[in-house]
Amino acid sequence: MDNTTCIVDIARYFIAFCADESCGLCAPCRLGTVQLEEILNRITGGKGTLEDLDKLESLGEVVQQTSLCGLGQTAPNPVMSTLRHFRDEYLAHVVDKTCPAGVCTALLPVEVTVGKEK
Amino acid sequence: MTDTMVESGPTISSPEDLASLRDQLAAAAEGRRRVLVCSTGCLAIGAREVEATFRSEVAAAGLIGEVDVVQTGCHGLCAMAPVAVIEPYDIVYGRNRVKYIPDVISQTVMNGDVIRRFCYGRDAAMAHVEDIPFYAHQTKRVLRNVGRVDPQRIDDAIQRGVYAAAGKALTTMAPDEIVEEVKASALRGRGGGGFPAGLKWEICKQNPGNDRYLICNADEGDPGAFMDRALLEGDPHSVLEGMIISAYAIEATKGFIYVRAEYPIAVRHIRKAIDEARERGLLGDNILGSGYSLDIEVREGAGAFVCGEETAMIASLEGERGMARPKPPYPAVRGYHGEPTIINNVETFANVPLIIDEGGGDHRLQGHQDLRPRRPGQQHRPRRGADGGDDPRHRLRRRRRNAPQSRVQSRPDGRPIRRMCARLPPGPPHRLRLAQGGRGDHGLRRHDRDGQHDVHRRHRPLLHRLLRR
Amino acid sequence: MTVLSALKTVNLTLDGREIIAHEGDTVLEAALTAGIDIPRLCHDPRLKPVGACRLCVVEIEGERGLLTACTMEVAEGMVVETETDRLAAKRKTVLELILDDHRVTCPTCDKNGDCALMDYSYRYQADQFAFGGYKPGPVEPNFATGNKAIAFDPQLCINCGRCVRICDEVVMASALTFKMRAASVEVTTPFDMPLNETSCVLCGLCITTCPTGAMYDRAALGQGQIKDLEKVQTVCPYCGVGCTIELNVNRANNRIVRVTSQVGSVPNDGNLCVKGKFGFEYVHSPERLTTPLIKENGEFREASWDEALELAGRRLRELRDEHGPDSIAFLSSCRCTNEENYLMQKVARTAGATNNVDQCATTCHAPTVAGLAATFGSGAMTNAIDEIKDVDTLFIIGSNPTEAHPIIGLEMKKALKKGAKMVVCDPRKTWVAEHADIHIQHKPGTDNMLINAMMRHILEEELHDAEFVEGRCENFEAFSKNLQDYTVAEAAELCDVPAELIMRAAEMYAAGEPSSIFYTLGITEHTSGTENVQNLANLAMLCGQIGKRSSGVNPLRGQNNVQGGCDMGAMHGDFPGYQKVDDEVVRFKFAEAWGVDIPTNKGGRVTDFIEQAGDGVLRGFYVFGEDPVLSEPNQAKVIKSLENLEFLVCQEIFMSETAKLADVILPATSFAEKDGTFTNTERRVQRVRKAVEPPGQAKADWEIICLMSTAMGHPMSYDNAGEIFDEMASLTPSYGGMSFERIDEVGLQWPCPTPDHPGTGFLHAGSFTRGLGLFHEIRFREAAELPDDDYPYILSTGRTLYNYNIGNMTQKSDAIRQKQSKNFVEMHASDAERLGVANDDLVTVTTRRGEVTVKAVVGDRTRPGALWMPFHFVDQPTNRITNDAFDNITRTAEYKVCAATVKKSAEVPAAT
Repeated sequence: MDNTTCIVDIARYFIAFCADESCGLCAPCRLGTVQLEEILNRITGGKGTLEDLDKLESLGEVVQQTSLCGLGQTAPNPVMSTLRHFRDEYLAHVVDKTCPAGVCTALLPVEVTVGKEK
Repeated sequence: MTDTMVESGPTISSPEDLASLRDQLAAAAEGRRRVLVCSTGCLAIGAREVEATFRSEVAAAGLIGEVDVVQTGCHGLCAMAPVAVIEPYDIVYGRNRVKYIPDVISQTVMNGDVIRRFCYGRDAAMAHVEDIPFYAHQTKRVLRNVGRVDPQRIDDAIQRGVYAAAGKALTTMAPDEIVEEVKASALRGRGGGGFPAGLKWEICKQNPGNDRYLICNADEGDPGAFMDRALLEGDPHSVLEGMIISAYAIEATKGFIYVRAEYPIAVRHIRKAIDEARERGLLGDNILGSGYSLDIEVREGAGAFVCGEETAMIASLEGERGMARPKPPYPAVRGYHGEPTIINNVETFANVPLIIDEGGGDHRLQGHQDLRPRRPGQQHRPRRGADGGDDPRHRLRRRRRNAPQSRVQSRPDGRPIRRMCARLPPGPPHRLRLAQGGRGDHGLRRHDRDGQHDVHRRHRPLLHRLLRR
Repeated sequence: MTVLSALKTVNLTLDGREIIAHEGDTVLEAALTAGIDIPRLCHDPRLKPVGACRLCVVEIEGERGLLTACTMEVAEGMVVETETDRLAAKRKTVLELILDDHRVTCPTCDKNGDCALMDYSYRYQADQFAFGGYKPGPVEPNFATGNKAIAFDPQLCINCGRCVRICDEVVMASALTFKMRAASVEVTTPFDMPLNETSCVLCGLCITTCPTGAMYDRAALGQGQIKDLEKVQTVCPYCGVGCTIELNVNRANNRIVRVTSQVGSVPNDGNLCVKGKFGFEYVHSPERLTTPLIKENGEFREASWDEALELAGRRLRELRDEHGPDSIAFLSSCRCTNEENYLMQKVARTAGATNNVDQCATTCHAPTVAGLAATFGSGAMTNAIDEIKDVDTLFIIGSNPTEAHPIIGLEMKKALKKGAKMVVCDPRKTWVAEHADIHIQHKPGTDNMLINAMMRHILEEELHDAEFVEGRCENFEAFSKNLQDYTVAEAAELCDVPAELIMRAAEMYAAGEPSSIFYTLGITEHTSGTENVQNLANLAMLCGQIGKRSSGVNPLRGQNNVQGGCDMGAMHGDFPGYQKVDDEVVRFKFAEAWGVDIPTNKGGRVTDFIEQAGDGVLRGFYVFGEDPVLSEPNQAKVIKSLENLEFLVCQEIFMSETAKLADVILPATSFAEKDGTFTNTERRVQRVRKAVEPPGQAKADWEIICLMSTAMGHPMSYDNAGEIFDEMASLTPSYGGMSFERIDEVGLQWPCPTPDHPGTGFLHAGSFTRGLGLFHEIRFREAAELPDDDYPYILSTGRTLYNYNIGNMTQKSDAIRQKQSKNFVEMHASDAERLGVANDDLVTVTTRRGEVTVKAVVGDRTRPGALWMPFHFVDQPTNRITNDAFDNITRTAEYKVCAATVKKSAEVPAAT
C-alpha cells in the first residue's frame, strides 16, 4: 500500500469487515466494532474530531482486552496501529479536514467554476 | 476440464509399493513435454480458454501423446496471468494469448525456443525459472508441487514424492516420536496464532477422552489472503499427507477439513483428492499397511468469517451456530464434542511431511539465517502490490492507477518486508508506506525500518510503516 | 454421581481473602459463595457459562489478559482480583456499549426493581449517551406478538442469550434461537414462527432468566413495577412437585400480577411450568363465589354465613342422628392445605361421629398408599427429587413426567444430559418415550404381565441382587414360584411388544447404578392398581434398587397436596400419619386429644360414597374442594347418585358441576388467600402463605370447617393455621418435629419425628419401615372392560401439560386457553384413515356409558386400536364415558382402560 492509499480508509475498511463478521456473542465485539466503525465513518466523512481519536484508542483497547475470541481481540488492531504510526494522517482528517491520499471523497477539495455558456 | 470421476489405479498397500510406483511414474515423466497452465487463480483472466486452446492445438498438430497439457495450480506470478510453465525447459510464459498458442507450441514446446513477448519483463533473458528474480529469491517448500502437478491426479503427486513421508511416519515411527520431531522443528501455527504445533499436539495427547479429532482450518477468511487457497487448489495431496501424519501422531481416527464455500475450486480439488486417496488405500483402513486407519471428511463453511476461529469452527462442525466459545478449555483439551481436538492451518499441515522427511532439526534451519533460533520455518505470503488487495471496492478506487501486482511467494520468516516488496515486479512500487504482514487484517507485525517479516507476533501489529518517505 | 463432600477442595485468594472452593467450581461460583458480587449479565446458575457479556472479567495473577470468572475453573493457589480500577473502567465501557443498544426506559419499565442492567449501570456509573444514545425502532411484530403468556421487547434485549440457552439446555425444547449475526443478532424462533407454533411449552423459563425486561409476562405488563410489588413465598397449587413460587402482589389493587421463583429454591431451582407460571388468573376470576348460597326451589339465592352454616350444620347433624354414621360422609380436598385436611377428618370423626371421610387419592394414587404400605410399610415416594439427576437408569412406567410433572421432567433431563439411560413403558409415544433407550409400547392394562415377565427374565439370568433379597426381604420363595407361570414370550404376545425389548429393558434396569422407578396413574388407575404398585415394589426389591440414593420406587403424586391429604388421615381407616383407626392405642390417643369417642364404623371411599348415595344409604354429603361430577367415572351415574342425596353442602371457590347440585354452597379461598402447608410428592412439607384478600365474603377453608364443626355441634376454633399444624404435629410422629418456624424458609421431608431432626431424604435405608420388604405374588388380571366387536378400541384418559385435572383453574387463564381450550381425542393415523377422519375433524367417541363429540388429533402417539383423551374439559366431559370399575382394594377407578368406539361426526366444528 503506497501513497495512493488512505490509511484512515484502510483502517475503516478492516474494522467494518470485522463489525460485519462478528458472530454477535459477546458485547464488546458485537457492539464495540460497530462504534469504532461509526467513528471512522465520521472521520472519513469529514465530521471527525480530536476527541474521536481518543475514543478510538480507549474503546479499541476495551474491545481488544475484553472480547471473547480472536476476532474481537484483533479487530481493533488496524485502527490502533495506524493511529500510532500514522497519526499525522488522522490529524489531517480531523483537524485539517483533508485526505492526503486523495481518497476520502468528503474531504476532497471541491472547486466550483461558474462558466458562461458560449 | 479434468473429470471429477476418480481414475482407477492400483491399491497402494505399503511404502514399498508407493516407492516403486513413484519410480515408475518418475521414469515415465522423464523429459516429457508438458504445458502447465494455471487453472486456479488465472481462471479469472482467461486461463480456461488458454488451456482449451492448447489442447485443441496440440491435437490439431497431431501431438497428442507427445505433449501433455496439464491444469495446475498457481505459479505465483499472478501479475502476469494467465501463466503457463513449459517443461522440460522450465520456461515461464505470462500474459498468454490464445491466438499465439500455435506458435508457442511449435516453437517453445517442441523446440524450447523462447518467444520474448511472453517472458518476464518481456525479456528473453528471463524466460527460464532460474533467471527470474522473483523465483530466484525463493525456495519453494510447501509450494514445491503447486504449478507442477495436476491437483486432480493423485499420480502426479505421488510421482513428486507426496505420501512417502506418510509411509515413513506410519510404518517406522511411533506417534510420540513424530510429536518430538515436530517439536524439534519449532513449527508454529501458520494460521496467525503462531502456537507451537508440537506443543499443542503434546497437550492434546495428555487428555485421554474417548476419541481424538483432527481438524484442518481452511476457512481462510481474512480479506486479501489466499495462501491456503493456493495450497488446497494446487497441491491438495500434500495437505492430506500432512493431516494423515498429524492424525497418526495424536492418535485420532477422524479428521475434518473445514473449507470456506467461497473456494469452490479448492473444495472440488480437496474432495477429489480425498476420494482418490481413499480409492488407492492412502486413506481409510490400514493406510499403507501400517495398521492405522483414518477417515477425513470435508465440511464447507456458510459465509461466516468467525468460523475460522477454532471454537466457532468446532461449534459449526457440531451443527450449532458458529459462535465462539470461551477458552480455557482449549480445543486440545476439550474440543469437538468435548473431546481433545487439534486444529491447525492448511499450511501448518503442509509443513509436516517436510519435517518427517528432513527431520525436525533440519526443518527448523530453513528459516532466516539471523533469526534461526527464534523464527524457524517459512511462510508463504500473498504479496499485494499497490492495489491494496482483492477487495473490489479497493479495486474500483484504484483502477486508474497501477496494474495489480499480486503474487504468491515463499519467503522464510524473518526476511525484511522491505526487501520482499522490493522484489515485486516490475520495478519498485510507488512510495511503499505500509505492508499488511502476517495473516489478515490483524495479524500484522510491528516493525521498524528494516523490520523483519515475522508472521507470528500479532500483539501490536498492523499496518506498518515502511520507509521510503 | 459425585456427592459434594467427595470433591477435592481448592484454596485460592480472592481480593486478598483466603477462600476454600471445590474442584470444578468456577471463580465466579467461588466468589458468589464468598459473598463477592462479581457483575454478570449472561450468567445463570442453571446454565453452562458462555462468557458472553464480559462483565465478569477478573485479573488473575500470572495470566495475560483478562479472563471471565464464569468460565475459569479454580486452581490451587490462584490469586484473583475481582474489582480494580482497570476492571471498573472496562466494565463501564462494556455497559455503555450495551446501554447504547437498549431502550433505556427505567421509569416506565416493569422490570425496574429486578434489573441487573440497571443495577450494574448504577454501580459503574455507565453513561447511556456515551456512544450517542439508542435510536428506537419498532417493537412489534415479533415472534411473541399476540401470545398471551409471553411478551418480547427486542429493544430491551441485550442479546445475553440466556433465554435461548435455557430453552435449549434446561427445557430441551429449543424453541428460541439467534438469527443474523454481529450487531443485527436478534432472539427469535426458528423462521420467526409465532411462538405457539413452535416447540415452546410456555414454561416461561425464558422470562425467569431474562436479566432485563425483554422477556416478560404479557399479563403483567403495566401492572406494577417489580420494585413496587410485594413478593410472597408460597407453594404452587397445581401438581405434586410443589414448586416454591413467589406471588408478586400489587398491594394497590390487591392483585397477583405475576408468579416468579428464585433460582436455588427447593425443589424446583427457580424453574416453573406453564401452569405454575401463568395459571394464577383464576384467583381473581369474576366467577369466584363471593357469598354463601342456599338452594330454594331449584334456584340459588344469596344468604348470610350464619344462615348457611346453621342450615348445613343442622341438616348433617340431623341425618346422622336419624340414620347413623354411615349416612353422612365428608369429602376432603387434596388441593387444600394439610391443616384443612386434618380438620376435615377431625370434623368427620368428632362432629360427624363417622369414619366416612376420603379425598381424591382414591381417584388416583390410593393404590400407591395401600400397595407400598403393604410391601415397604410406608406408602410414599421413597426418594427425593434432587436425587433424580444422579440416577443412572430411569425406569418410567405409566408416567408422562414432562407433561404431568414438568419440573420432575426437568430433573430427568438433567440426568439424561449426564448420560443416564432410560426405559419407558407407556402405550403412548410421549416425550420421554421418544428419547428413551428402550420404549415399550405395551397394550394398556397389561402391566403386570410385563413386569412379571421382566422379573422372570432377571431371575433366570441371575441379574437380581441375591444378597439384598436374602437379607432385607421376605416371602421370596412364594414370589419366585409365582413367576414360573410367566414367560417373556407370553408377555410379548399379550402386551404386543417384541420379546427382545422386554428382556433388554429388564437387563437395563437390573444393571443400573442405580436405577429408579417412576410411575404415575398409568399404574394406579386400573382394577389391578394396587397389585401393579406392589409388583413394581417387587421389581425394586428383586434388584436391590431401593434404600439408597437415587433409586427407589417413586410414585409421582398428582395434586399439590394429595400426599398431605393422605398424611393427614383424611381416609376411613387412617388417622394422621397412617396411624390405624382400629389400633386401640392410637384411638385412645386421639380420643384423649379431641375429647370424643372415636367412631367405630368401617367407613368407605369416595367411590363408595357415590354408590351409596345412589342406593340411598348415604344421605348427607359435605364436599370440600372436589368436583366428583367431573372427576369420577361414568358421569351420568354420578349425577344421578348425587341428586339422590338428601343434603349436599359444597365448599368451593367456583360454581363447579357438583356445586350446581348442592343445597348449600360455602364460598372458600384459593391457596393464595390463606396460610397453611402443603406436602409434595417427595414428602416435603412446605409453607403456603396468604398473599391477597379473598373476594367478597369468602372465608379461609379452615375457618369454614371450624364453623361447620361448631354448627354441627362440636365447637372448634383456632386463632391461626399454625395452631392447627402444631396440634396435628403433636399427634403425628412423622410430622412431630415440624412447625411453621422450622419450615419457614425451606420445607422438611417426613419422617421428621423430633424438633432437631433434619427430615428424611430417602426412605428404607438399612431396613424397610415395616422391617423386611414383603414380596407379593401378583397374578395378572385383565382389565374390567376389554374391547369387543361393538366397542373395538381401548380408551385411556390422562393429563396434558397445559391443563390441570378438571380445568376449573387452568381454563380461567388466557395464557393457557390459547394453547388448549377444547377437549380432543388422540387416535392413530391408520385408524383415522380407515374411518375417513382427518386431523381436526369432529368425531364421536362412544362407550357403554355415553358419548362425547370432540376434535380428533391424528398421529402416531397412540397405538393403533387405542384412543386417548384428557379429562380437563367441562364441555364434552371425558368422564361421561369412562368406566366405573374399581380396584379391588382401594376402589380407584380404571380410567386407563375401557372399551370404546369412534366414528366421524356429522357435526361441523364450530369456528374458534
